[in-house]
Amino acid sequence: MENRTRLLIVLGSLALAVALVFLLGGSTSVTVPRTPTAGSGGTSTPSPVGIPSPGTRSGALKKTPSSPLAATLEKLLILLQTGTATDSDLEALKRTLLAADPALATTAIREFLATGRDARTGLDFALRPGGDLAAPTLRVLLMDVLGRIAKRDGTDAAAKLARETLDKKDSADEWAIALRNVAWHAPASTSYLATKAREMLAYAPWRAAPTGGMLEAFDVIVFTKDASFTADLAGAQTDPNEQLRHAAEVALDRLAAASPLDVMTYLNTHPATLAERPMLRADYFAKGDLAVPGQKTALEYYLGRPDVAVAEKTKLLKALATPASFVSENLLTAPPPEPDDASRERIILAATREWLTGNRFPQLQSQLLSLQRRLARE
Amino acid sequence: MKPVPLLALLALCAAPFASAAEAPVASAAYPQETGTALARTFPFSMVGQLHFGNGEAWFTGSGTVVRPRSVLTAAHNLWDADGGFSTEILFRRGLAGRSALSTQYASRIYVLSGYRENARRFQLSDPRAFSYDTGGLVFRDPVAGGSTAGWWANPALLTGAAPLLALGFGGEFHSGDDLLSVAPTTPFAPVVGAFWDNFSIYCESGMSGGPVFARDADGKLYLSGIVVAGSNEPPSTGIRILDRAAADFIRQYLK
Repeated sequence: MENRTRLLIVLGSLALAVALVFLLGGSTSVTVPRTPTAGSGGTSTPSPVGIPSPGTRSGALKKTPSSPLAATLEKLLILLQTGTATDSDLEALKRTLLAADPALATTAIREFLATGRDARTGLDFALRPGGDLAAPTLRVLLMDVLGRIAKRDGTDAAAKLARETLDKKDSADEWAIALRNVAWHAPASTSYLATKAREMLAYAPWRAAPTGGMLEAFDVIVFTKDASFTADLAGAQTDPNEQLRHAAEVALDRLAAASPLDVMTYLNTHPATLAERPMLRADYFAKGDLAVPGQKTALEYYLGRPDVAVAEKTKLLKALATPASFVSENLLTAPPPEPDDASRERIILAATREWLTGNRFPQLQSQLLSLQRRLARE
Repeated sequence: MKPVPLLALLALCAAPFASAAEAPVASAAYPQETGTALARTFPFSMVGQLHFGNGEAWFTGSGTVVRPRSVLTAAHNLWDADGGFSTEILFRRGLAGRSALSTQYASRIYVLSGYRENARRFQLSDPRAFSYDTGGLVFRDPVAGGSTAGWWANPALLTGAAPLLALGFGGEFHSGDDLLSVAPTTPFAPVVGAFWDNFSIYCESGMSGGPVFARDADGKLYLSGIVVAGSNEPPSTGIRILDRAAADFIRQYLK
């Protein structure tokens, strides 16, 4: 009788333990193997590293949440896996982690990420107004939060993990956040970031089906101000993938604003680039700063090019007086500083007078006179 | 997502100097001239005509002073997939016939990047492009002596029973040089993202970028949306509502 009671107690305890593990996410029956990219169409292969295999259930049984934060993560994982998580749950998790003791939050996030488990959030990778991230997976969400904690507290926790992430190609979305986290921690590491961005661009499976994160990661190129990307971005504008083409176009436009001389030089030495869209090419040159001698020379070279039509040059001269920018929430780069338009206008006016006086561009005489009148408010 | 007569929706900037066509039907659904007195009464006096070049053609649109040196308008007045950014953008505030309260050339253009991406990915007249169809102009000097129209990123203003009024310088059935207004008799409804529509009114070409004013409980008028699209058969008008993204854009870039 006593033995039977003991047996019942043991069986009961075991059942309770299994139920607890199930509730806390340790059951392989609800664990979704980590996919390489959210929405990638399964073009890349998942990494076996860190993914619990079906045989690890007993191992998982031993692993109970190490802290209340870890338990919170496990609970959200279950909600996501069962399709019952809401946006509010995701936001609440972010708030909890950001408000927690940074060391505890960092540990909980790192421990969770090390398990390799993941679940989709149902959101597309997107930057919301104010720079908040809509994360497509729980892992991306946690990497984002880890990056924000590290940035706020000046630690290298997120950058360390990011470099580990960038050593393998599991997920383009995770790469995007990893690149951002490295840049936040070490803004001067542009060479490393450029290398990794180029690697990302060249990786055929990701390039064939770019995720939202990969498209946003084009901002890393802008951040590096590395004009050697000009050729890559110009080349990507004929990519068969439409989304990639658009992302490359936006990045080239923003790179032109961040590094105008290099882009102008590239366009001057590659006359076929954008030749079919002359008015857009004129807009790139309109970003030039005539106070910088090299940029002024590049712009003058363009105005003197015989292969560029007068209509395109006219567009440039008009656009110089009304500089224009696209604005967006970006993964990494901050909005440009407030421009000094009065100073810019004075410099353009001086250059215009110089060109007129020296009869530098005879074909554009009337356009230059018109620009001079506009800027001088005559 | 509500079905939309995609092919019927058109961006509403207009080529000026074209002779005004005959209005299809004299109806409350179609915009009428406000008259000079009302056009020059606050906050309607903050609305103006935009005259600009794009490619080798000239167009008109509308805009509203929302910050002392800035005007809010539709992105498609400011950028085109082939023509790039518009140039020589002249804002004629309070235009009535040949006279305006003030005129000034814009010195800087800002356009929501999502407009270009969606216009390229889909087409210029796709609701997903209209959903980002927002841009702003910054001027060197105050546009209206420091006055601005009130604006409120509160979509609820567009869905209730509060009176609404869409305005702009329509150049399709009118000259394009006088302020027109039309009052919806039904609320606006979401189509996709920040693009909403209304089937009780039609806005003419040239009204693009003009404001949709809504009254709050105290009767104050607030700019709550930007006219961006329209179809005259059946009458419908599409707007880009002022939401948080639009509010952030105004605060961050417009001065």
